[in-house]
Amino acid sequence: MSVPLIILILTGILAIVVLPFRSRLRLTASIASAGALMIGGFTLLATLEEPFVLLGVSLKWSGTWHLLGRSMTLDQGNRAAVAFMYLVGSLIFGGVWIARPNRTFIFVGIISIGVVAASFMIQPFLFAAIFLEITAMGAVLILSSRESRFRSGIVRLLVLYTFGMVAILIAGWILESQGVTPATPELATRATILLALGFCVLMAVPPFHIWLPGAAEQSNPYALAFVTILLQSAGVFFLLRFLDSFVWLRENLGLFQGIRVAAIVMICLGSVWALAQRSLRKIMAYALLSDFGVTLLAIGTNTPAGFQLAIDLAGIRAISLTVLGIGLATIENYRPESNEDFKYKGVAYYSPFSVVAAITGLLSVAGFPLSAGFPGRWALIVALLDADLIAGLSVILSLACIGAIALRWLRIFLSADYAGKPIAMPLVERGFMIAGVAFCVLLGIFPQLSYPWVVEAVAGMTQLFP
Amino acid sequence: MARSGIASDLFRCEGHRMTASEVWLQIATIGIAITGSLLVLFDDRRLLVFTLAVQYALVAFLISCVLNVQIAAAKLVAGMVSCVIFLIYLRTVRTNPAEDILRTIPFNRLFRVLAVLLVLLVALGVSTGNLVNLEGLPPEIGTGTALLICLSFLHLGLCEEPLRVGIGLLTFLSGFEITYSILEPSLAVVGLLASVHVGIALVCGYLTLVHDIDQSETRL
Repeated sequence: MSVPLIILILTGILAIVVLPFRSRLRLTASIASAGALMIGGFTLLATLEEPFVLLGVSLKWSGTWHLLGRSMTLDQGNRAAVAFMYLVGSLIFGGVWIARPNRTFIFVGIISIGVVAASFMIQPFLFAAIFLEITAMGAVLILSSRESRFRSGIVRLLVLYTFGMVAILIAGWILESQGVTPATPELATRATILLALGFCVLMAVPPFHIWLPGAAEQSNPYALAFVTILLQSAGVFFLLRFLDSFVWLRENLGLFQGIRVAAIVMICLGSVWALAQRSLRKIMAYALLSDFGVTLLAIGTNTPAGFQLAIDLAGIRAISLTVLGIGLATIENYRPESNEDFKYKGVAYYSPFSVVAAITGLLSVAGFPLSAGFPGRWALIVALLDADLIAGLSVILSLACIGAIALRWLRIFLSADYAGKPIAMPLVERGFMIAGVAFCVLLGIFPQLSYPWVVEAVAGMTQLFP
Repeated sequence: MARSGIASDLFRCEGHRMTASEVWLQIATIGIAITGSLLVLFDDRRLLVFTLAVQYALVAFLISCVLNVQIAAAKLVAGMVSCVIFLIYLRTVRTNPAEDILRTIPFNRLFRVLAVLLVLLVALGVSTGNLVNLEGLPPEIGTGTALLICLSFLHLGLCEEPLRVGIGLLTFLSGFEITYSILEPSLAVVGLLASVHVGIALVCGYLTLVHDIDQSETRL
């Protein structure tokens, strides 16, 4: 048996098992969370290419599964990334019964995680673009809700990812069959332009971010958090694999300069647009845009430390966004029926745990001191202030703008317009939110807790991390 | 890829006289231009899906001229499955939602006819350059690719109704695959791209269904 095949079969079984219980959200969430945790653990601990004894039976698991002339491979280069997706899935599925996104969330979510895992394992890895397109289809189903009539943001996501897939596939063909090297500048330029187009879509670089505010307005915030974690983590890992595999790409200094410019544009536009918003959901979307920009900026530094920071920021984002998403979703779920003109005033008095989660999550996405997002940003600012002052200042601008927005919303939540009684939130829900907030703060104070994971995740990229 | 060389020999003109295969290829390319244009012009949803099915058949024919028939057949099957998925969804929604199409720019028939004519000219212009034409392949392959991709851009730019967006995306992918199948004829990639077609049909069909239910409720 091969481990990639086992992982995909287990994912399929998990999806089928939860399907009949879709209406029993707590049960489904528990099964999905435990199942994803087990698959993630199996991915991390499975013995590859060496014989071992299990229950008295001698076994040997292969890391490669051949399929129709292509293969899926699990090795040190992608094992941590595959496990990361399942562990994040476990965390997010655990909170589904609190956030209450649509009924397809868990079923499609499990399949989407399996598809992203397959995109990490496929060889040649250029075909991962097709898997990301399939993930985008799953994202559309996860994001679609009957709350909103217009779904232009969700439809745009599908259109943009289709264009991105095509651009990356053509670039992949040029790279594979035409033999691009530093000595073939014309071909290298063509491939670089196509790759840049594809990755602009994957990383939501403006104007390819247009799906994000629309999707945020039309979807459950928790669903949006899950989708962005999934798509962005896959995009970052895919980009790093490209840089690891092609020497001419790594040596193209213009490319890294372009990445830095795109990142600065994302950070500044995201921060300023977030300041101009009155809707909390749109603020989440633009804060995310700014956060994606910071990750891209880390890659644009073109240093091993920068690449590690990018992975670290993508991992930390999963925690911050889960906490933010669950906070926003519960604020809206517990909104009093009498409050027809819902303006969030006084929310902190009847739903204090949701408010604490939402504000902590937003501060963490902003990279505010003592939150999980801060250490990564601080390291990036320190690295950039010498090398690229404008880039460093843009990160500080983002931190200040999104942090100010969080504090402004805290003031709105605390404004005493509400005279009713606090909502009796179940103990487990409160416990989940408190644990999320505590985790955010813990990672902010002890960043070294996440560092070994980052080192493990990038261990297989021997060219980027010699 | 081995067959592309044979294909180039097959389709090479001898003097000004065209071979029977060349004539068929040109007929298929003209057919693609017509179906692609009709997809922009029609309002009736069932007609749109039937036109898409015909377009898939023509694309499969073009691919079969330069690649194994099995690969063309796989693409045809994926396309037909996509059309059947759309038709299943259409059984539960209205077939002519002209009054509430999510428009992005003016959508009247005359505007669309003019836009289609302009885009056809652009596509023909693009296909004469070396952007979509590959050495050793009949020029109709490049022309078919350019026509479908340009018309799909027009389709996607005109409105945001999920069914139309789905058809626009499938048209775009069909155009891309005419050339890409020749560049990358591996079975795994053919299978994955086929699943993308079916997936887009499923997702856009679902969004159409939800969209129409919402509109019915709004009217009530």
